[in-house]
Amino acid sequence: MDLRDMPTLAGSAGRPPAPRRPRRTLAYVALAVTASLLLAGGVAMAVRPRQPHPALAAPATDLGRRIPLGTGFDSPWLVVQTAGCGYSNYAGGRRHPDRQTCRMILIVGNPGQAPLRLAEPFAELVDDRGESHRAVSDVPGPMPVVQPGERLVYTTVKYGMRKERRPARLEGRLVAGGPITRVML
Amino acid sequence: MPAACVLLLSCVLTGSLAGPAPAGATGCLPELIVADPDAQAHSAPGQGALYSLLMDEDGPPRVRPQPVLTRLPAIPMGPIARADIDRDGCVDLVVGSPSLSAVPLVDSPDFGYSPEGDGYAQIVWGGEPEPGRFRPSTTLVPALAGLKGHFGWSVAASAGVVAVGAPYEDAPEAADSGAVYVFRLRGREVLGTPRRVTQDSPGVQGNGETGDLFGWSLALGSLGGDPARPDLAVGAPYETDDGAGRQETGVGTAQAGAVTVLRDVDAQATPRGEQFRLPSAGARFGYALASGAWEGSDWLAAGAPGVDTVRLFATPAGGELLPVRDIRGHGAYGFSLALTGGDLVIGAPYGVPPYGAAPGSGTVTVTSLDGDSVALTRGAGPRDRFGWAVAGAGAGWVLAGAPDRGTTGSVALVPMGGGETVWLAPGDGYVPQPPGLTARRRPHEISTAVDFGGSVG
Repeated sequence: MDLRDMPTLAGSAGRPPAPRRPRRTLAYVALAVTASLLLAGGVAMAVRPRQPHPALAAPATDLGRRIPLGTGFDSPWLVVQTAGCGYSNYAGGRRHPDRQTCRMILIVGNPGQAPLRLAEPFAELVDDRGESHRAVSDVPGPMPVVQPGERLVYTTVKYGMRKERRPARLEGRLVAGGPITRVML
Repeated sequence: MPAACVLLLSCVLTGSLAGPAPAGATGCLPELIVADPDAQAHSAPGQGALYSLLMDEDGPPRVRPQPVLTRLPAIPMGPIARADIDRDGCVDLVVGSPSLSAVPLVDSPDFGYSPEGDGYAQIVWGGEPEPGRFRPSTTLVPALAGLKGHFGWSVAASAGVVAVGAPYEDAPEAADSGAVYVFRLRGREVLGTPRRVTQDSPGVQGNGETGDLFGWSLALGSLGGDPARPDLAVGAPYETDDGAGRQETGVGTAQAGAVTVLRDVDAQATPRGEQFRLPSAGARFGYALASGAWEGSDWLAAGAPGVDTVRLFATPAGGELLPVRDIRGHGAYGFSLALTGGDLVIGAPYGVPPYGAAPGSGTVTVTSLDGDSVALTRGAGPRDRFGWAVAGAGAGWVLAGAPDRGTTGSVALVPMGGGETVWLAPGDGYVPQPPGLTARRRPHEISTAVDFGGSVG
């Protein structure tokens, strides 16, 4: 994979893809950025020696957090582990030049006593400009059912959108018959 | 992270049922164990990661986090058990992985694994850890393959005995009624086949009914049987209180829960069972269990987070196990429990701390077993789920998991006597990321911490 096509993680600033640069220029830029970061870091350390915990300093996000799928303390839960974008997007068997695919890795636990079916269609992805995008399961066929006691880790939901957009949140039903839920990315 | 840790360039963690054992045989280092059961490791989602928080002679909060490498993925759903099982002076671990299956390898004593959900448990033998190497381990599996009972959902250990719960194992015409397996060991050798106990076994009160989930939680201790033999407490939090005999669904007090104590569980004879109940609908009595000894008595704590209650039992030397008192709180109080010395640690991951309003931040309460001292309660940030898992860390410290704190989850070392809480999380400069790829890879391949602190021991 080319560095320019490297996927981006949710929550990063919504910027268009970087223009192509000659490798040497890129190296100079990297050197300058590194030097300025070191300098800025040193100043920051001098002014504020106790940095906040990285987990607390991060912007508000539901990534990595349990989203309860019921009302009780022992309800089934869902975690959006990663929301990675920048993957190639194909339409009609061809790579689309202006679009990207975002992949949401889901982990679902069902400690309850009844099977749990993920919603179909699954929650939509809302981008940083408020546009909604439909979910497509990574695996053809119906969304999986999580049996009592099971944990589902191999489910990925995909979304297609323009390359310059960034994922902002999931919005919709996560489980069949469940409430409309908003998951900040 | 305290400045002292920065200066020392090495801070480490450790945890357990009654706090880490002191250094015993040569090479044994006291440690606490933290699991991230949902971590992406080696490019595989949900592969899980296990960490040791090694301590030096100064004890907590000075800990040195490092990964624990096990032959099979370690994905515990409940507490991690710690005891000197092989009596070599080093504390051993028992870690369940109920969502996977161990698959025997051809021409090898080792196991592979598959995502079938039969479950397995690993005894990770104590001793001097060798960085970058697998720790010596023994894999325990259910008697029959294909049961999908999620063997390893709960574990308990004492010298020469390991108990493993399979709460989703079916009985005839009773799905998810549950079972418990008791393994006897001599040194590191597993003796014979394990004893399988259900609510239909001789000597056990009650009946195996659909959805009881007998074996959800376990605790080994001296609970009124022969003092030379371990007794086993088994939680069945979804048991319906419906009287004797197998009943139709919908009869009785739903999901009241029950705790069954099996005396002398490692003896050849049929164990003597005694059942305890807390007859409140939805109590989930037995959701969490913890046992320990203190001042000549043996203690058992059983959580009923559905009604925010912890029932404390005690066994005076040579006496019967009797309820002593109920301790009440809020926010799924009793979701997790640990006994450490003369203190009971109670996790309530949906609780609100007494100061400020942080919905679902979770609390950890420490109260003395005799009830004389004032309870100490600590909260955390909004939706941290602080108190999801708790363990005694020794030397007056408690280890508490907050698996929803930030994107990675965190653990806190909490001083019981008051003082600054020390937080640790993957990516903080002290706790490494889960093993695997970390740089210049696609997001779905990068090692990702998700639920650090989801299980501790």
